[in-house]
Parts: sequence; structure tokens; C-alpha cells
Amino acid sequence: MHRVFIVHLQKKLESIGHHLINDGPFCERSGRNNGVIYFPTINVTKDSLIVGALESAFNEMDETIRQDNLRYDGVNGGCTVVVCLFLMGKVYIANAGDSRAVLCKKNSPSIPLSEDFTPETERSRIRHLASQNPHLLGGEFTSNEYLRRPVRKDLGNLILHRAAHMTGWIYKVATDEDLKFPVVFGHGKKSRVLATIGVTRGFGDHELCVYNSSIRIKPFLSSQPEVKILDLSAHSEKELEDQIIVMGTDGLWDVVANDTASSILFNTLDQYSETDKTRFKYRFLSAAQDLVMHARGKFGEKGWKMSDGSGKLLLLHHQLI
Amino acid sequence: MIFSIHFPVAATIDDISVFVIPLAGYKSELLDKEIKEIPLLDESSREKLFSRSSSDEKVVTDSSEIEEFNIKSLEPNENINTVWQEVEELEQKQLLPTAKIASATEEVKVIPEPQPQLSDSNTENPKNSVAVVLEPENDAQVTDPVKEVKNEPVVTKEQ
Repeated sequence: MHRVFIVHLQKKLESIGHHLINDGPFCERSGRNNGVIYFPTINVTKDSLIVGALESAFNEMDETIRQDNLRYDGVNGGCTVVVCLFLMGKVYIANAGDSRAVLCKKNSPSIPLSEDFTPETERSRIRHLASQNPHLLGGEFTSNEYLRRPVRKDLGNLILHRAAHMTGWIYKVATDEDLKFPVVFGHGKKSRVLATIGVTRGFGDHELCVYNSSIRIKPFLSSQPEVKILDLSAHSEKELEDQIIVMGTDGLWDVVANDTASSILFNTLDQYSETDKTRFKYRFLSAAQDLVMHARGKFGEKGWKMSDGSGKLLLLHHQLI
Repeated sequence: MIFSIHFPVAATIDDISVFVIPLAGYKSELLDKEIKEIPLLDESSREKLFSRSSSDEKVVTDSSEIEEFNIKSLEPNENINTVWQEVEELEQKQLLPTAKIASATEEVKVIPEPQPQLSDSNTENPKNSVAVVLEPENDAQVTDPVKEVKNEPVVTKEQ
């Protein structure tokens, strides 16, 4: 998958390569009326071209997976994606899903380089989409949200609800329509779209349906990444020595806070002396493994769990799902 | 414009994958050795890649591009984390699968471990996560006309 994605991204970046080595802003032009017409009102920066290349590559990769899903056996499922592109003194971090990139700085708070895309964070987008396309709900779900999920004995009574276009609450008389399951249900890591999936962006999942039905999940999922830009050009190598990007899946970030990860990272690195070259070159490898092992916890009678409270929450969380 | 892909440092077990990218050293000798050119995949290559994957899931990744390390071979400092010692004990008891380090183009699948009834935290279907690091071979040093705040690494958002 990585290779195929690189091919998509490479083609996109090659298409804007001539812009990247010239000064912007860039304007669209047309050859109509036997001449060249410029549209100077639209300023296109190099950053926006690179962001566009990433977004386009994400979309094409998702489409490639869709086609391969139809063409080959066994090519199914989906995944979250986070990409770091180093280009011209900047890092472009493209994220679709709940994997995460974090900039860890020694003796300073960490800086998140991506935002998670979950039913919780994209509640508004999902509900608007459901409201505008009720046929996607298969008659089983509703785009409304309720303070308390209505039951049959509430029919005819006033209940608090909010429609997709609302952020506040309002009373309405409960009808059979209100007994349907909300398209986004639950909170935090337990939130789900169509009672099925807990992440709203990424690649694949073209074949995923609501359990025991033909209601497809994919129309509510997006492959569009959010792209953030980290400018390194103003910093010397010395300044960047204590700045490290940690990219991890939700298996890490569900149980390890950003600043905790940063602390583990630098604690490990501090154990390696530059004079011991044999060991020194493995310091980042060891740090990555320490983060993995910290997230995984210890193996006990009841399986893997962390020694502190967060691990217990993890196991409880898994059991509840 | 030729681009390359590398995983500077990666570790993965189960659904936990971590990639560490030191900003100061992403062009250092340590990391450059990992850089590999990515060939364009023609249709026949894709056919081969995916047809193999359908019969054997592990072959989605070119195995020649994966380096595997045993945790013990890394000689970690015992003071770093007591986890290391416990890992070795568990390995001796064969309770812990050997951790594998991915350095190429795909995360490594690890031998299944004894798990309590854990399900994926996001979906009822197993999901894999992907993390990719790209780096251009030739960085064209061009000044962006758009001024940016450069006192601290600045995170801007374009959506």
C-alpha cells in the first residue's frame, strides 16, 4: 500500500514540480480568445499546491483500493493514514483518521501535529450528510440527536432533541421516527457511525456494511486528509536536535498522552551516550520500542495490561465494545 | 523529481505502531541508509503484488525490504525500563512474540499473541494503520513568498 500511495503522490508532486522551483503566487491561465488570459485574483502558494498534491494522492489511493477491492480477492478492510512529507525545509503532515503525529520537544510541552477524526470530532459533518441524504440511512437510523434516547413509551410526549442544523436543544413530540438509532451514537472513543465504526477518515472500507444489513458505511467516511505544515527552515540543526516527531497509531495514543510519550522518548534517549557509538545509533530504535512496550503494558494472568489506571481503562474499553 | 521513502525508526506490535523521526537527523548517515528509491509499479507488477497478497497476506510487503531485529540484539540499557527485563523473561517462557522492526515500506505483521477478548478500538472489523514518511531526494531550496512566523516551529492548517 505504501508503494502504491507513493506512486500517486509522486505523480502529483511531479505535476507541480515546475511551480515549486519558481516563485509564486501562481495563477491559472487559459488560451481562449487567441491569447492567454490570466486570473490574478486567485493566489496559489507553493504550500497550497503541495497540500493539493497530498489531498489528491489520498483520494486516488482510496479509489485504487476501491478498484482493487472489486478486482482482487482478499483486498478489503481499511486503515487510518498519517503521512509526513519533508519538502523544501518544511514538514507537511497529512492525517486521515485517528493515528497521530506529535512534535516532542525536550523540556517543553509537546505539540500535536494532527487532529483525530472520529465520530465525536466529526459529529456535525456526519449528521449533516445523513440529513441531506436520508436514503443512506436505510430507514434504520436518524440524523437527529437526543438528550436521552427515546423509547416506545415516550411516543406522544415531549422530548429534547436537536436536528442536524442545530447545536442547541429543542422540544418536540416524539414519533416513530425518533425511535430510530442515531447515525452518530456514543461519546469519546466509544462513539460510532451507524453503530459500526469509530473512525471517520482513512483508506478503504468500501465493502463495510452495518451488521446484518446492506447499509453501507463508506458514504460517511472520507479519505480527505487534514494537512498541517511545520516550518523547519528558520531553525538550525542545533535547535532541531531536541525536536522529534513521533507518529503512532491509536494503539499508542489511546493509552499514552502526548506529553507522556515525549517524556518516555527523551528519558530513553538520555540513557545513550554519544561516546558509545555502537549503542548510540540504536537510541531512536530503542525509544520507539519503549513507547510500544509502554503502551502494551505487562503480561499478567489476565493478559496484557498497563500497571497504571490507564491500562485498566483500556481493557475495560475493549471489553465494552 | 525522485522521491524516496524511509521509516527512520519504527516499532510495531499488534495494533501499536510507533515511528520516531528526529528532525535534526533525518538526513544523517543513520537514516540515509534506509532510503530506498520507489520504483513506479506497472500493471504487471501490481498484478503480481496483489495476486500474491490474495493467497498469502504477508506478501503484501516485499520481504526483502524488511529488516527484522530481535529485541535482545539491541542491547538496551537495563536502567532504561524494567520492561526490557520482563520482556526477556517472557520470551524465555515463550509468552511474548518476538518484536519486529519495520524499516521499509510496510509495517510488519507480528505473530499472534495470547490476547484476552480484545477487539479493535475503532471498528468491529480488524483495521490496520499506516504511517508513511516521505522525503524528497533533491530539496529545491526555494523561498516561499508567503511569510510565516518562524520563531518556533509553526503549525499551520490548510484544509
